[in-house]
Amino acid sequence: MTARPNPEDVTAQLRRTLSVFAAELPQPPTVFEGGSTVRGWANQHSDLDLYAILPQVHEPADGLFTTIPCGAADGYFYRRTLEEGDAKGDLQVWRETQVEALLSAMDLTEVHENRAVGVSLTNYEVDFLGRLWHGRAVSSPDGVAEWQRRLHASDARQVMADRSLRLADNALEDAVGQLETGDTRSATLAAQRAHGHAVDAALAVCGEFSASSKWRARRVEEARPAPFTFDEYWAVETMRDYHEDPVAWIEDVLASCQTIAASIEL
Amino acid sequence: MTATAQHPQQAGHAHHAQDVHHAQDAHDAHDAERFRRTLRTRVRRVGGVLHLSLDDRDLVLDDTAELLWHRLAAPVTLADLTETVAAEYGISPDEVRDDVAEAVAGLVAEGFVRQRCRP
Repeated sequence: MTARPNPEDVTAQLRRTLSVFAAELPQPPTVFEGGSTVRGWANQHSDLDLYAILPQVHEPADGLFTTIPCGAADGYFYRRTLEEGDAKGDLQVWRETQVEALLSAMDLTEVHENRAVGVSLTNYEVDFLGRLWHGRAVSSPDGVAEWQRRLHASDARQVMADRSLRLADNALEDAVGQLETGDTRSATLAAQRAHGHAVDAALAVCGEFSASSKWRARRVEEARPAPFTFDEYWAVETMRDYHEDPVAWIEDVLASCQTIAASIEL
Repeated sequence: MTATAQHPQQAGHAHHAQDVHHAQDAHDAHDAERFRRTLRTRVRRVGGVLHLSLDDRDLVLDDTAELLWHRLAAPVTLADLTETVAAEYGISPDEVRDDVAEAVAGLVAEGFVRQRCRP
């Protein structure tokens, strides 16, 4: 596992790195750590995932950052790899107004009016919110805590659940259409996608947001979503009964996706 | 609607042994008919109430309809559904059989439930 850097060293290093974005950095800048290292799931290949939220962000001139477009937020955020000593990691730099826009999007009335606000989020934005939810302050604990307080008080869980349910609906419809034409293999893949999104919706209700399936089993194990047991989840994820009757398996998985959706209050 | 079809003997079949045999076969076949949710249905719970959407049709389920809908996760017969509802309300299956058949017929007519060829 990656050795944990001294937070003060990280902060000093971060100040130097972040100085390319702003002539005057807040003292201290708001920075948090998220991802597997915070959750206790890291391994020796895991990176440190750091996120800075700054009042002003200018495009850096050093060419070391990747510029990534936002979805629900405006403009771009910046990302770069950090490799200094054992503190191998990934740094993202977001503007406060972008985070404000993400929090504004976490509004359940938008969902009730059938506006797919969650779907407008990019995978990076989903991961940002998920990592902020469980994040650990590296610098400015009060600043990080305030962003977390606002996120926890928002409708993020329902909006993110709605996002995943919409993705599940799409995959479910694919699977049914493919089954109707006898394309069992494609329907199998679509059913797996539908199930993954339905599970992600149940996880979102527990404050677990991620655009990736990488830690899904860990999340289910830890959050224990109400609609299913871990064994029930794992039986589908590992396709335990698939070979007995593939079509029956697909149909049962799709029905279970509906049952999960029925258990989530939006 | 097949779910509310009459028992063959009620339809005036003769008491000839062969006819009775055929009538029993028909009755068994009728009882063996299975139903399941339409798997393409979009499902949401808002304000504690279950909403189903399919193409341009929307349906809001009351408690009993929701009970049926949950049971329809797997292919089931009308008899299974009748027993479920009777057990839920602590009454005899005879008291709810017609209502269940009517409710299922309504769900089938709207497309939210389908008769199943597979068991």
